[in-house]
Amino acid sequence: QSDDSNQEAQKQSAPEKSETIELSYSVFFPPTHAHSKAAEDWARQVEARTDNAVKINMYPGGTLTGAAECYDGVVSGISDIGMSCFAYTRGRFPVMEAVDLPLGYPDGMTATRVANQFYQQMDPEELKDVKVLYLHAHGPGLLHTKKPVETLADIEGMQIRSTGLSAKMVQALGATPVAMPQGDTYEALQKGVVEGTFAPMETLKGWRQGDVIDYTTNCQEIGYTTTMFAVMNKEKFNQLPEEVRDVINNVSNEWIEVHGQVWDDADKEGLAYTREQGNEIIELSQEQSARWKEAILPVIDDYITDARENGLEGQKSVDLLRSLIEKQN
Amino acid sequence: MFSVIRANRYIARAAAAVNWIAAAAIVLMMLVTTGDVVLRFFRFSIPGAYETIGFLGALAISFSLPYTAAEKGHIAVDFLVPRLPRTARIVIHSINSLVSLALFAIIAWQSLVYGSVLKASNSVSATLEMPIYPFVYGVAAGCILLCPVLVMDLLLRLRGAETQ
Amino acid sequence: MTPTTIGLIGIAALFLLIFSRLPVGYLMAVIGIVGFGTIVSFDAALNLTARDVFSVFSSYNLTVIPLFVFMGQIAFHSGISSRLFDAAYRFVGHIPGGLAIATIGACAGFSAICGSTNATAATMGAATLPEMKRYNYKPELATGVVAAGGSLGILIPPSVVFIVYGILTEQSIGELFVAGLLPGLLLCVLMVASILIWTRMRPDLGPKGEKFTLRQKLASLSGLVETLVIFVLVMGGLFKGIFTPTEAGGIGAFCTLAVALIRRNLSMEGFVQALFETTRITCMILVIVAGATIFSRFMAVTRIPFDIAGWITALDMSPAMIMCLIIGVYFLGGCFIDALALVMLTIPIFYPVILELGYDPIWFGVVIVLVTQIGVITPPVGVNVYVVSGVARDVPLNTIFKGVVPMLIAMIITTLLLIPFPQIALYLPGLL
Ligand code: NA
Ligand code: NA
Repeated sequence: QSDDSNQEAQKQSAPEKSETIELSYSVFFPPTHAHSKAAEDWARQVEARTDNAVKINMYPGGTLTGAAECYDGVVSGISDIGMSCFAYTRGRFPVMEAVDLPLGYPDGMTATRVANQFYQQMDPEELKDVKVLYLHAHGPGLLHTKKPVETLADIEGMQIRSTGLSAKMVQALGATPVAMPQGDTYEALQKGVVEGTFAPMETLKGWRQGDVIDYTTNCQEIGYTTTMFAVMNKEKFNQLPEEVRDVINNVSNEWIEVHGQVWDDADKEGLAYTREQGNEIIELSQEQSARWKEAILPVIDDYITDARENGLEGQKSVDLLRSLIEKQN
Repeated sequence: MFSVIRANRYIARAAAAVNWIAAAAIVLMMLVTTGDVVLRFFRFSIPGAYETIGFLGALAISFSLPYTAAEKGHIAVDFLVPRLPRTARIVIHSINSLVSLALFAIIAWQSLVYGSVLKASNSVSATLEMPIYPFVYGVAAGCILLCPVLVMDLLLRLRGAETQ
Repeated sequence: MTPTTIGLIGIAALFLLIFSRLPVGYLMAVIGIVGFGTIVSFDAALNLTARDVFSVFSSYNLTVIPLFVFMGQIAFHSGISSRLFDAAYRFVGHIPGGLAIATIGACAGFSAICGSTNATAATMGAATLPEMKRYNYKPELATGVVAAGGSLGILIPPSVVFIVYGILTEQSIGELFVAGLLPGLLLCVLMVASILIWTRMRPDLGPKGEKFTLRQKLASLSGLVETLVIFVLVMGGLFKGIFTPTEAGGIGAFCTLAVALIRRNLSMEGFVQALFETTRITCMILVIVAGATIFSRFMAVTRIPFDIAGWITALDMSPAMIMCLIIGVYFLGGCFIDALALVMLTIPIFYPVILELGYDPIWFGVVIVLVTQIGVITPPVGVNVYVVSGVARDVPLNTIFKGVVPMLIAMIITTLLLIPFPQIALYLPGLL
């Protein structure tokens, strides 16, 4: 009863507000990408539920701040809200970095839920300068190549496009990492500058890389992820009226599942697309899978050692992540 | 006695000296890319060649800023101003020098701020995990070294000497 | 004031103040900072400036510029480019404007492999401008040809704009590349026609030379063996995919330097001059790119691109009229905003309209790429013209803009031909 009258009062007071609150949202995904659309849906939902007391202007494709500048851009108020990857600013998020480790994520929904639960439980210092709306993370990063890879011996010495963490994985697997932005990978694969790439299934369709590779090795047991954030300028958030803040919190909570689903759907579409191109999916044998997992362990150990040197409990993070992944399945 | 002309000569010489850092960065870029490709034939690669080349590029541009300005190397539309009377020309040139000075002082100051943010947050490059902030400070250094060139330009304009 | 008003004031300010003789790159940065600061906040604008400057200066993709410029400078200071042009002169010098035509061919060949228009213009400028001058070609013809020829890199694959368009619209990048081939060829032919007509009207632009015997022609090739080897190595390696454009620039510079040193053609002064010219030209180009980036951020927050797109979409007009308006928007937008930023800002809004009107998405991609290519050489933000002006320091900017006009006509005719004859773009992809 009192809730209803509250809403009545709000609706009546809404038209009296002389000015709508305008917010800018910088998204690093290109404008037609499914996550750009999901972010835009989030914005429209917030607008609708606040009776248009808020208006959110979208700036996709890095037109306002680039992928690496997005987070600081939010802190310094270049944009009010921002979505990008933690991995673009290495060293800046030492606790959240753990989520990206090759812990064998089965799918995007799991990775997305785990990332959010991990953040809530750890509440890391490194994210205290913004209001975190929600996080999301892609399905397992797999190996896509021009030549079939079934064993560790096959991958040895291959030139694989990878950056940061996946570059360490490539090295641990005995291949040579070659760094370049996702946008340049198509041409590099087409021309043979690199012989393969580590990426989620989704990139085969989303970035058209299915056109220029022939095989995918399903190494899900060492599937890594890349965690993405939707964050808001803290001061700007705190200045919002309480009911608007509530709407933003509620919609953000709902959008965790939305993005998780988008990642899973995108991976399915990527799989269908690469099959259409006549590309083959290679399943690792049980024996090889175990070997790959073993080969990749130093990457996880390195993280734990580095974290310890920085006064963080890396082992605790990894254990927590492993148990969160297990709980999901 | 303070001579603007002589001071200008010293500063131009200093700008050319700083430009050697930029020149060295370009030669290094050439060597790193060539080395990386040659090693690739033997299935090796220089780790982090990609980010190293980007950082060398930043050094090359930052430390060529003073020299390029001293050489009047930046493109301007030189169409209307030379047809104006002498006083108007001096006024416009002086305003331009002041605006340029303000712009690069701001870029220098903001690059120092940005660099210190990157330093405090331990931001490192993707593959080599090399700190990024020294290169951002490099941009600041280049802009700071550019300022005396712009000041000299302003002083010369005010004395009425046309340096075209 | 609304952001739109501030944006319009910003555009007007850019147009007027460009005549103030403030360097173009500085001016775009200043207007961008002031405009962004007025709309968002000055704190944000200052922050943005430092970030954009660093990300442009340290961009891997832009390092293709210093490396190819260095290669071109060494080729010039060691006399390689003179020998090349002497040979070209013996073959095509008897045609009025023959060397300009040869330069268009060289630009097309270079940009077929190198994705950067700026690098093409800077490299070709350094190598060909002093030589055309030697043969008494007038600066407006020589510089106009290099500025326009350099822009071919956008249409002739590989092209970054095509890749971005393909990803944004989920179209096949391979089909887009193939679709760009015939229009690219047509454009080259029309540019050559432009040169022939122009030199016919004004024979002093590219004076006709003497005729050489076959023996004399062949004799001129003897000094070019190493150059040919470098060319095959660099271009072949790029085409076969052994390395990226930046790496090709590095290897090209290294090999050219090696040849110059072995043949003892390069003095120490020549080397230092080549190196210092390279730093100056690179710095000049990247300062303009950084300025244009900051200005594009300002244009984005004014939301003018979105407003215009929404306004056209809502008009009740025939599909052909709407198409012409859209092309007009890209043409005008290309004058102010960098090609890639423009495509990013507008495609999401225009693309659904195009599909609804029944136009072919591949064809539209080619049209957009052609129109943004025009933007690279039109004032006030005509980066390629500034690049050429930085290389040819004795030529006033308005002379180059004058020289670009006949080439511009060729580009506009190509675009207009694509509207009634979409087959020019769609024929080759149809064969796939
Ligand atoms: Na090209
Ligand atoms: Na333009």
